[in-house]
Amino acid sequence: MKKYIKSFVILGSVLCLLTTACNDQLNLQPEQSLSPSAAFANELAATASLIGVYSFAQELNVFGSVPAIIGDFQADNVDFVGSFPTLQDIKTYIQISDNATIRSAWSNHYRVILAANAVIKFAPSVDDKGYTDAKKKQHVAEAKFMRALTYFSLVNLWGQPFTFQNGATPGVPIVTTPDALDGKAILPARNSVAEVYAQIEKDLTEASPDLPATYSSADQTRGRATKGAVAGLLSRLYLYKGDNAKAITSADGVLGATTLYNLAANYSFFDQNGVEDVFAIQMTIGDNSRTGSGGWASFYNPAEKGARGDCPMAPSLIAAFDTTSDKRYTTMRQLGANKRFYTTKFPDAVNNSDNAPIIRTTEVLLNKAEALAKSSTTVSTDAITLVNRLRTRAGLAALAAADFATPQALVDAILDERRKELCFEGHRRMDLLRNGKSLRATGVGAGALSAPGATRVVMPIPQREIDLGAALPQNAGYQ
Amino acid sequence: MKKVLLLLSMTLLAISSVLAQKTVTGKVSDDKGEAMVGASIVAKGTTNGTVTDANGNFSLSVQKDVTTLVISFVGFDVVEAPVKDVMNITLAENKALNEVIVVGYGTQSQRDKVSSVARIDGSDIDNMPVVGIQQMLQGQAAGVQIVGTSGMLGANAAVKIRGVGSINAGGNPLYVVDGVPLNDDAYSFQLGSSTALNPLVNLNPNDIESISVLKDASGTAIYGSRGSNGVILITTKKGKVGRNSVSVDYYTGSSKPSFLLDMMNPDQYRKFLTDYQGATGLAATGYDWQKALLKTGRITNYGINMSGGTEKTQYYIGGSYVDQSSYTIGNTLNQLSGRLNFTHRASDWLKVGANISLSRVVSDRIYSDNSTFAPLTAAYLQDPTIEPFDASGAYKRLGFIPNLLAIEDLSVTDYKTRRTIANAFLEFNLAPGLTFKTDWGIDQYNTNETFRFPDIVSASGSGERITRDDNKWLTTNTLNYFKDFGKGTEFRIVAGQSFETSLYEDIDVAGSGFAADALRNVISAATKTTTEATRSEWALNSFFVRPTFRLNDKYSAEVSFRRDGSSRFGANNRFGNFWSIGGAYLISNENFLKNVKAIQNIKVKVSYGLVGNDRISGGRGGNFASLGLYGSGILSDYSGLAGLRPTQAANPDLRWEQTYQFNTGLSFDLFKNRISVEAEYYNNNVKDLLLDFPLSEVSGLTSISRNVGKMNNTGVELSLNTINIQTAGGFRWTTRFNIAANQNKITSLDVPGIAKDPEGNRFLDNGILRAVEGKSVAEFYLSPYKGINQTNGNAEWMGKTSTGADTIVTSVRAADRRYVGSALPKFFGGFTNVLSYKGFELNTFLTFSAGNNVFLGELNFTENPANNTFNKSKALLNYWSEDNKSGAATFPAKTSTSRNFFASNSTNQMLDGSYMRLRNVTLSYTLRGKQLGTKAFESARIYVSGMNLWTMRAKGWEGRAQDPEVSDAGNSNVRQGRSFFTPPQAQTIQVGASVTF
Repeated sequence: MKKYIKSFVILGSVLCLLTTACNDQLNLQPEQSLSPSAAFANELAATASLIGVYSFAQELNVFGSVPAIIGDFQADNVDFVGSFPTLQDIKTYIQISDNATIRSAWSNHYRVILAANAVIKFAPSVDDKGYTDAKKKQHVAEAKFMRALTYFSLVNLWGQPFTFQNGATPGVPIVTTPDALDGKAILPARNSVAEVYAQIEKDLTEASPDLPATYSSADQTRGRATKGAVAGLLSRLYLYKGDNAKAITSADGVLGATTLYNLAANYSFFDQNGVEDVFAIQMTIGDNSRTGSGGWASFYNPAEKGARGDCPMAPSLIAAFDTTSDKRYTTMRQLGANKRFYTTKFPDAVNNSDNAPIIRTTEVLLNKAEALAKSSTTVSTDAITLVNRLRTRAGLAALAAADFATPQALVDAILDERRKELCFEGHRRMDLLRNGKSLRATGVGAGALSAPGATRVVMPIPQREIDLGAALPQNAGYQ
Repeated sequence: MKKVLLLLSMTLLAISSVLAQKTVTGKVSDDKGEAMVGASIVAKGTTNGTVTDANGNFSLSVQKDVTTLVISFVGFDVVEAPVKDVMNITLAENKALNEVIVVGYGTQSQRDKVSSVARIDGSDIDNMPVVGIQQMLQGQAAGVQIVGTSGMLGANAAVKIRGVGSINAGGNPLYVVDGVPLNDDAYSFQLGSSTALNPLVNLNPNDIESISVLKDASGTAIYGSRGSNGVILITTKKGKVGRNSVSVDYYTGSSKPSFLLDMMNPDQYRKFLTDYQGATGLAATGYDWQKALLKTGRITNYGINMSGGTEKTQYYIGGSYVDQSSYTIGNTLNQLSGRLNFTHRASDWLKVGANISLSRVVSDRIYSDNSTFAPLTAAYLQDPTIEPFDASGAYKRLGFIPNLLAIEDLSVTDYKTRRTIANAFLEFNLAPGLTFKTDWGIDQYNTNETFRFPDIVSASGSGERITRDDNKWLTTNTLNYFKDFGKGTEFRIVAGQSFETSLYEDIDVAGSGFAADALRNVISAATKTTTEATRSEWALNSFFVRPTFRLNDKYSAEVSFRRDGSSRFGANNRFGNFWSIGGAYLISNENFLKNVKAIQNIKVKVSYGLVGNDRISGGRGGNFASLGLYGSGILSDYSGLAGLRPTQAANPDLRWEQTYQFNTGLSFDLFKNRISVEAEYYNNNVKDLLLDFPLSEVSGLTSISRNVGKMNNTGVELSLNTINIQTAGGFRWTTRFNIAANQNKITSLDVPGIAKDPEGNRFLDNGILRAVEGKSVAEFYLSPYKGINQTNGNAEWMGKTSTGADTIVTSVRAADRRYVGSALPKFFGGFTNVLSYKGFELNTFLTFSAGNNVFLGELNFTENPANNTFNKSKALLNYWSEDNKSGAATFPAKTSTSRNFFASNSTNQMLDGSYMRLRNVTLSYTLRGKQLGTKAFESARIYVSGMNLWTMRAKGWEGRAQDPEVSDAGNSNVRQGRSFFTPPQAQTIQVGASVTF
């Protein structure tokens, strides 16, 4: 028996040994991800964390097209020939608060903001001697630009236009710290439209001095935050606010830099990273995996090109064009197998690699023209000169002051030009709303139902947020 | 590690050489006095044993202090006899309760067991025309709910043992084959659906000897952190001593869908669009897409196995090939598998053995469910006026719903898996009653997916290739000790250590832009869209022990304990302890009952214990759930620059889900075992649920893994086995029946940050389903649909006023939603009747499920009166109009604004999912060689059988919907009872033959 006891002791020790040896093998790390501290360990990682902000912004539901699609389905530039119930509901003005597309847009916008907040908080304190203060400041400024751009998109979708009750209506919650990374549940309240505008203005103004005018390559000069991009976005912000003087000054920040930003000679500038692009979210073929269920090209091309084909041109848009001589119509359309016309602005329906044209020189020029026309008591010839530059490029006759009976007639003409120039780029809905116009003249939702202040022209706060108890009063009409 | 093992082996060798031996001889006969060949003789409490030769004789060398031999033979009572030099043993016909059942790290007799275990014999699941063992277990064991998720080949089955065990963590049981816990992660998904393909598709059912389903803590605590969803132990066939036996199996069959939807033909479609929607200029063409995309399915199975052995060495060799094609075009699957099991007694103190299986499954896949590339979905929805061919007979390029004929003809959608499951062991007899076993196992799973879509399907062509490997290895080292004190008093203990680790690796490449369709591989793509390689690893280190004590053949007590250390949990909670304690009382062995002829057995048992669930986020996706993460790669880059994006928040306190399980049972065997009844009651309380705790998305994240909430499953199970008629003339009628009722209830979600509905109930949102505090984990939350107002043609729903009162509304609004029913069944079970006479046997097997609701997402499309791009259900022709207002109209008037809401989610798309199904019926004839006086073969069996030949559905299904047995998200806990054009189960008729030589 003694022998056995001895054996038990030996066996027991062996088992314990095995157990301890194997416990060391339980410390495993993921090999495709880093901890948040490692993501700001040095300049290389911090730069990558900044790049991640742009990467989040590429997503389908952020600047990968969905906000533009929502806007177009609400307004009068496109028809709907798709199958997605969530989009169909938006098109028919019956969207409700558990609409999955609307929720994805909401959550994906705030992911950009979380990533930007992390850069703004952590980049300045990265302990890396090679990581200069200037570089850190630039990275923070880039994150601020992206945060501002994202908040602008959010407030446009979920808030009434600033010009409706001067921004006193509910906007979206402002979050400026990356608390979620610590696992903290945050339930922020809704800020007003004016507060969100103020936050955007603050971010942009703070960012501008620390940003470069250009980067070493064209795709970064056009695809990352620059002084020009800030000026361009500010001109839009002020125009939306009705602050025409500041809109003009800001626009000049772009239009004055004529070698960097100018009108392209013809319409082959899309996806080219040329003088026409003030800021364009860069899309590459590899990004298709993340925008796989759609994308600019997918929505705006006919189905047989490998696209979803949801958005053919509406008759009302076609009617707005001079269909015989306006090159923006004659050279920029294609006929689908379903006998409907589609735009050619985003040709790559297979890989969705077309850049998202966020700010174009032409838009900034139109911003300035509109601000000039609005701030002048007479028909503004300066504005007409600007608009004529576009019309000439489009193959149309120049306008003259005599063509307009009132300054408002000129404003309307500029808006009409803006519609034709910037169609399918996500501008139409806000251009109508901020000018007090209804989104549709005919059909479902026509007139008062789609006027500024109407319940369904803004998106509902996702029901999930309400259910989780966030202090987010629902937009009227969605309760 | 190697050094340690060397040391270990040397120790064992040293001990073993010192033991004293003696030899016992004898003969075993049956109660008619005939010699029994191949009866097993084992020194009690050891693995030392032998079997009888062709004359029923045996000779066994045993250690001196062995006092008892255990003599057994399948179908006969086990006899324990005191050791004598010469022993003559008589075995009597079987009493069911003496069956040996496989439990965790050992075996037990059915009679003594404390835990709740269901045993399924391999022969009960032979020759079913399905690939995947879960589907074969359906209805076989009380409390084991199995739902076939889809009729697509290789589809998974949803398996839930005693209800839904978790909310967000995985609900799958642990599968163990011959001691090797299987890899059962989601490797590839059904195309177009979120259902993982069946990871168990590689197992050949004909190799299975028996399956034990461990249902309570007493059985599963020995599996610790992986026990709470139950454990399914699969034991494969072993060779038996005696004549070599060869068995050949063949069957072939054909299949069709059990149900189909009734869609409009081109004329009806044109008429509907014209009359109802005012369409003009519709094409006059037409095509029958259903006919073109459906076909007769086929299945053919070839199997052969050989087994036998000598007293020292036993072997089993099995091989099978199954070739299957589905009832839709483009879907095939074939499985080739081989197995070698052997054991060898190298000396009286050493036994070695191995179980090795190799398999390959090759499948041509189809899309299904939520995809316009799915043959069935497209067959239903394709505009019936669209034709697939142009004037020259070439495929046309179609719109949003592509040309499925072209896809299935020209596309490559292949899925290949290769798998090796094997283990090898050495078992040392160290001392009387003491053995040590070291067992080394692997499960190497390799999958390969190839996609190649031609230009006509995906403009300019696209291709993808994914390869995945999940390689597991483990070692299990156990000590077994047994001591017999005589008079039915004995003690046994198993103690062991186990280390298990699995490494997952994949490579995924994809591209687009091919010069020609004939260029098959991604290398020919002009544009490479995906280039990925990932790795993920986990490890589990464990110690376990289970002492069992039996007193006077009346009382049994059993304790299990396991300590697990897992790489998957937070640094603060890496180790966990699991345990159970239980007892059984054999009342029938009390003197006052011993002589009651009618009673063979009465037993009560009770157990309580703590088991865990480590399946965070369902699988390897949860390997690092406790860490804060920034993700990298193609998802994080921007314009060619490497990026990092925050994807997950840290929770270093993350730990196991813990389930406290109580089980008690009462079993009877009466009237010479003609009636066997087992009734059980359980009450399982889960706490620290591994929740995807919802965060306000304003935070930038959607959820964080946290241990929050409590849930309860309470239920009763009843199993009944009877021999109803048994005549001297050879007629026999037996019945097996089982039924189980489970009530699932979330008992607490009382944590700040959990959502509340307007009535104040806390809930977790899963779309139209919610997991609700005070209710179940899967409650439908929808507006109640009232019907068509026959006076004005409006569709009506039950709404709520601002004060919450009921009011009729004509639109679907979020605020009107309420809890309208659960997706969980109230009860379910199986019912088998076997009639046999001489060689004939008729076996009918019914399964049933009742009280659950099913939401049919396809109705959002097939019954959408506002849509003008898809084909529709014929039922839509019955819309309200001035000519159809007598009360029978089931769809709104064309002028009613309610028609835009008709297809919105409401109870209009929800149906009662109760059903009863004739799962299998088999008529067979078995002929024994003896009857013909020939030794050319031992037995031959021919049969004809049918699967799913008849299904009774609840009201409202006919004409609107397909199969009530459906789960479009596989084994999800929270998304149950949902369908989205999910292919229905196949109806199969087969004929087959088996011959044993």
